[in-house]
Order: sequence, then structure tokens, then C-alpha cells
Amino acid sequence: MNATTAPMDAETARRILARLPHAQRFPVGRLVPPVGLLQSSIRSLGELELALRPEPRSLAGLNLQRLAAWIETDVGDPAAAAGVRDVTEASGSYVEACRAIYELIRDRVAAARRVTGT
Amino acid sequence: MTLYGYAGKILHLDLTNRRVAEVGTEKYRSWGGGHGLGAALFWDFCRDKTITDGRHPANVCIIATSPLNGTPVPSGGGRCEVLGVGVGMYPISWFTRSGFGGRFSTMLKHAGWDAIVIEGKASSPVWVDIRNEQVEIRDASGLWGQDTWATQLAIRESMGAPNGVENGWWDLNASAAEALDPARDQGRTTQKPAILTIGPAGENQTAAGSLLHDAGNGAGQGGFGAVWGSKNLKAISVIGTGEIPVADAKALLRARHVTQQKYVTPITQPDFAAWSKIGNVPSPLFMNPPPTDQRRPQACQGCIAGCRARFAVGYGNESTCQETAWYLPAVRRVAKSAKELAEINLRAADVVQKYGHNSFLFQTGLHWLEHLHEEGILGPGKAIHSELPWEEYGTLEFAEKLIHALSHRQDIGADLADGWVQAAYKWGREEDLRTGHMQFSYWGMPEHGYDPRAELEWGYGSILGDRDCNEHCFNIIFTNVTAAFAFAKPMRLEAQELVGIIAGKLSPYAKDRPEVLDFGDANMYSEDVAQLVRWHRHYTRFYKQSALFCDLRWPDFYNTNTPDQRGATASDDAGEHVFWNAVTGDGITFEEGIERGRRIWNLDNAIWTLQGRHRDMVHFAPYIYETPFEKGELFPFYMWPCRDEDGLWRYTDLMGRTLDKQKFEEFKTTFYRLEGWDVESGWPTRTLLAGLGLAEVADALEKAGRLGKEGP
Repeated sequence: MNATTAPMDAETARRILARLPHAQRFPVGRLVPPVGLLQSSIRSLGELELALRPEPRSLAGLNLQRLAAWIETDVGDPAAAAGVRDVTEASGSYVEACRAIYELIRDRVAAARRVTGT
Repeated sequence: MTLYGYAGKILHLDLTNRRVAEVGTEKYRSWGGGHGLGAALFWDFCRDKTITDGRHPANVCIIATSPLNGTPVPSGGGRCEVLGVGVGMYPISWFTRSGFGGRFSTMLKHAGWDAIVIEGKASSPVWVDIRNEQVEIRDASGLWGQDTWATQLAIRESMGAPNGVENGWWDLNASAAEALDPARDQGRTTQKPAILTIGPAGENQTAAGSLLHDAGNGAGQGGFGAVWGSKNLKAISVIGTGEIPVADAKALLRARHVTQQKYVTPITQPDFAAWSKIGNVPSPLFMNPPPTDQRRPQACQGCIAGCRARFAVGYGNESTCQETAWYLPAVRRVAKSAKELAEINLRAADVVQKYGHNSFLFQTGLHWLEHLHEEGILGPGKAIHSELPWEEYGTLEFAEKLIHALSHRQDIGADLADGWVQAAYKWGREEDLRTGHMQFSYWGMPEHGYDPRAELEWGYGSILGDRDCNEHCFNIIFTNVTAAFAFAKPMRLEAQELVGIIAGKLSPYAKDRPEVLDFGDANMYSEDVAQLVRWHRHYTRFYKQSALFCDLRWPDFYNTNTPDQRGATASDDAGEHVFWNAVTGDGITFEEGIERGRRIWNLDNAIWTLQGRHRDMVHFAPYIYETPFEKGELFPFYMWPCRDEDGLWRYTDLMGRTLDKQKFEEFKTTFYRLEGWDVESGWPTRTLLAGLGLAEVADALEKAGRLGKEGP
């Protein structure tokens, strides 16, 4: 079972779509030549999906090791966290990992929206 | 004698007495153009150089062009420089600069003017109508209160339709006889007037007030919109039909042709991963993908880059770079799709442009405001009272309400109007400058996207100057190398090769001294780095801010389009000085251009000294010394070429360090010594100034008791 096939109950779906308190935000950046590193933060998996969305002229910036722990502990989605760990380990580069995580999170958020009907 | 590259006249606007006068450019010829020309004009026209708030009636604002404006110099013909004492900086608003692109500078020269000196204060709102030599100061009471776009449309409308509507051209000739004079280029143009204006943020004299031209060409940093607002100056409109004499047109076109053939990515075989600046594939510069691919590029006059765009959807037009992302982190809080994210984001760009509000303050400032709100410090009935609907944060409606309040000094805008760091102190939040919750690193301005603790030339150059330097000369080293690491791709240039190529172009102080680029822990406070910072300060003051080569395309140090991977900068076939010489006939070397920059930089420092500058106030916000970015917080690594313990060059991760305050003080001493400044005060000495032909500046400093002591 992986993050895509893991069953999603209503409570998990609610946690995935909920916005965390400010204190539990996760820092993300974006490397945008020539502006440099843009800073921001995310507070839900929905925001993570938008932050990771592939873009031809810039790269998402985040700490992949900490991301899995944040998803597991703060968001409360162990299946997605395990998926992030797996694809990070299997990826040949940071960018490849970001793309794989994006697809995983995108599917996870879509599943949560189907469950909650939002 | 022909002043090649120049219109030959400077327009002096005395707003107090509503008088217009003409000043000859020839006297200022040695200053080049842009910043150099503007600083020299400021020195001559500003009677009180001790003022520290740009809204003071004595302030003089300069709009200055370059000889290159209006010529086909690649990415060097469309910029315009703005100078004067700024607004909202901390602790002092310095004599500072800003710049913008578009059509204004070239149109001003076509109208016959190299610069505009704006002095005094009108008794009621005015706008200035320039049609070639004819200049009128007109009533702007009907324009006051309108946004920047509405103002431009209203001015165009008030000027009436162009003569000969069926032909669509303006006829600016005074008489039929004049129209037949072939030397006057018939006085006709199909162009629309170029208008520079302020919006509500400038009218209300807020530090965020910017100048705006067309839809999205803005001069944001420095608060020059507030300077104009304090002078009751709403807009300047210019339309011209003249020509710009060029010394050697053949040499100019030859150098442009060489640029295309040798340095620029071939359009038939584009290399999208080229390591270059002038040679990159032309592309718009958005921080976030726009909601549509139906767009066409838009560029400053004569530019080969086209970093802006106009969209079929009708919003986001001409915005580029930072303003296309100022609200992005907030929008993510509410957007349910990428399309929604893109639309709100670009519509928010339109909001700041229309209000004439500097979006750069939000680069780190928006995170600070969100932090204050989320921590329960900012909001209705909170310690920092705000009735803005913070629960709508991230929506377009909130963006409009926020910008409206800040532009009209309402709500928290009442405190932020005089500077964000000033507001932090007023609100008792100075601790935020220590913890890094408020990342305003130098002179009350937000940290750019380049960490001053990692990328030293940016941080040091900013604090040793007057503002966030915003000079992207070296940081493509970081972005190119870091991106290659992120993709796990082979390096196109290894570290030693890269620094060798760059150092070969750092004449005179750092030529063939690659160690100046070593930002490693062991070398970060060294004389090597001080020499690099000197080169950077002097290069940019002349080539970038006076000649007005575009920051996004120059300098071109390394270029993987060329066989030897050496870029156009300082080259004999298409270097900056080659273009300068072709236009002006000056015949200078690349190094003589750097020397001109040194002279301009030292005049700036003399003005800062008169304003009260002392080395004791030259330090970063506390978080730069006390709070490291946690490793990999915003990106996994910050790669830069450094030497290892064995002296071998390697790409090294510089993420996660702080600056040592004492060692930075020692670095300042080194820098001041190399510059010939008094190491105790940072003030220029008579020997230095006299050597630069600025003895009268030394006299003024001596009279003010602020002349530096001669060194040993």
C-alpha cells in the first residue's frame, strides 16, 4: 500500500485540507533567477501542492527530510509522509524528488477533496 | 561641437516659481550620464545637502538619461535613472537612486533633453507637459487622486488626438515652414507620449510611493513617489521628434552584430541551459506562471530581452520580476487551483502598479505582517490595532484593501508610511529585527533574494552603499551552479575554470585574482573580497547606473555560447566600453569606465557624509549577525565556488551561517583603506577627492567639519 492507494477516511481528508496554525507552518522557498530565493511558508497539503507545482523557470525550495516529518506529525497523514520518504530516497536528484512529491501530494489532495466533496 | 549621444540640454523645473529653464549638458559631460550626471546635478542644485528626508522642500529630484538611450545598444538603451534624497530608509534616508525602463528616457532625449532637474514645491498639484523644446507646467488638480493608469490616460486625452488623425501622427512643428525643414526630422511621430506619474501612495507621501510609467515600469526603491508628492508634482509627459547623434554608427552596429553572432544563444539552435547573461534566450520574467500562454513579449526600447509581457487576459500587463510575486505566498492560503493562484497573483500586481506602491517592501514585509497577525499582535483591538479584514488574507479583495490603506496612510498605513523599520520601533517590535521575523537587513529595506550572509558582494555592497543594491552582476554564479546541483547535472564550468574566467574581467583591482570570489568562511572578511566589492561598486556606478546597461543582461562574465566561454563584458569586440565609445566617441578603455564609476561613487559618499553618515552606523540589522538561516530552510543548498583547505576550488554550500560583527568591522576598515577613506569615520579625504577632480567637494566637507583625516 502506498500514498496513492491508501484508503482515506473522512478524518484524514479533513486534516489534509485543513490549514494548520501559524506556529506549525512549514518554510518553503523558490529559486527564481534572477531574483534569488523567495521565502514563504505553507500550512496545508493544498498549499504544498501549489508550492511544488513545476514551473519552467524556477525551482521549489524545501527541506525534503523535514517535509516528511511535518506531513506525518503536523498534518497527520502518515501514508503521504511515507510516500514522500520513499520517492525522496528513490529519486536521482532534488528536482526529480520535488516532481515526484508534487504528483503524490496532488493526488492526495484530490482524493481528500473527493472524500469531503469540496 | 557635437555632443555625441547627448541631446545637449538639461531641463530645470523650478516648481515653486513655476519657471522652466535650460542648462547646457556640456558642463556635465565628464560624468557620463544617468547616475553620474544626476549626482553632479544634485551637487550643484541642492542647496542643503544635510537633509535626511526626501520630502523636505530643499530636496532636488533628478531624472537622468544616458548617451546610450535611444540607440541600438543591446539591453542598454531603455533605462532611466532617478536620484535625490529618499524617503523611509533607516536610520537616515540617504541620497539614493532608483531606475525604471520603458520608453521615457528615449522619448526625453528625442524631445531634446538629457535630464530633468526638479526643484522646489508647487503651490498646488501640477503636471509637466514636454513637447520637444516646448515645456509647460499645467494644473493637475483634476488628476490628483487618480491612479497611475487613469492619470496617463487622462493626460493623453487632455493632449487631444494627434494631428492628422487619419495618419495617426503627432505634428509638433510650430509652423508649416518648420515642418518642411529637413533638419528637424519634420517634427512628426507616431508614438504616444511617455508619461511618468505617481499614484495615491506618492500623493500621500508614503515611503512606498513609486514612480510609474506605462503599465508596469516602476521606480520603487527610494520612495521617489513621495518626493514628487511632496512637491505637488503628479506627472511628467514627454513627446519628442528629434534624433540622437552617434559618433560611429558603423562601429555601433558592428558591435551589436558581434553580440548577436557570438554571444547570444543562436535562435536556430537555442541552448536553454546556457550559462550567460547577455546570451540567454529572451523570455519574460514572472515569479509565477501566468494564467495564459496567450501573450506577447514587451521590452524596454531597444532591448533584446523582453522581460515583460502583455496578456490576452488583459491583466498583469508589463509587470515583471518582484511585483509578480509580492502577494503569491498569501494567495496560496486561499487558492484552490493553479489557475486561481495565477489570476489573483497577477491582478495583485496590477493593484500595486495602479496605486504607485512599491511592492518590494512586501518581499519580506508581508511575512512579517502575517506573523504579527497570526501571533495575535496585529488585528482589531490588538496591540497593533488594525481593522483590515485579516481573515480575508490571500484574497484579491484583501490585497486591494491593504494597498489602499497603505497608500492613504490609513489603518497600519499611518505608521508604515514613514518607513517599515520606523514602524517596528514605534510598535515596540525591534526584537523582530533580532529574531529575523522582520528581515529588513540594510537601511530599513527588505532583504533581497540573496542572503547577505552567503552572497557577500550583495550584502556588503548594500550596507556600504545607500540601499539594497539590486545589482545582479555575480549571483548567476549561485543560481546556475545551484540549479545544476538541484538537477544533478554535470557542471558546464568547473569551479576553478569559472572563477578564472570571471577574474580575467575584473580589471583593474581584481584582474586575474580569482581569490576575490572566494566567499568561504576563511576568506569572507579578507582584502580579496573587499577588492571585489570595490570593483562591483565602481562598475555598477558607471556602466550600470550611468551608462544604463540593463542590470538583467550585464555584465556578461562567462558565456557558454562562445568557444572560449568568455562573455561580452570588457571584451574588445562587444564590451560595454565598445558600445559607449561607438555612441559617444570618448575612446575610453574598460578600466577608464571603472575609474569614472569610482569618481561617481565618491561623490555619492561625500553627499552621504554631509547628510551625517559615519562608519558607526554602517551595520546590518541584528539578525544578520545573530540568526543563521537554518540549513536548507528555503532551498537545500547555496552553492558558490570556494577554496578548500588544500587551496582547491570546489563548489561549496554557504547556507546557514551568520556574519561576525567584529570581523565585519575589520572588513570595513580594509574597505575604507582601499577606497582612500578615513578608516575611523568612513569620510573621504581631501587627497582622494582632489585626485578625482573634486576639490570643491573637499572644500564643502571641510566647511561642514566632515572631511576625513588623511591616512598614513
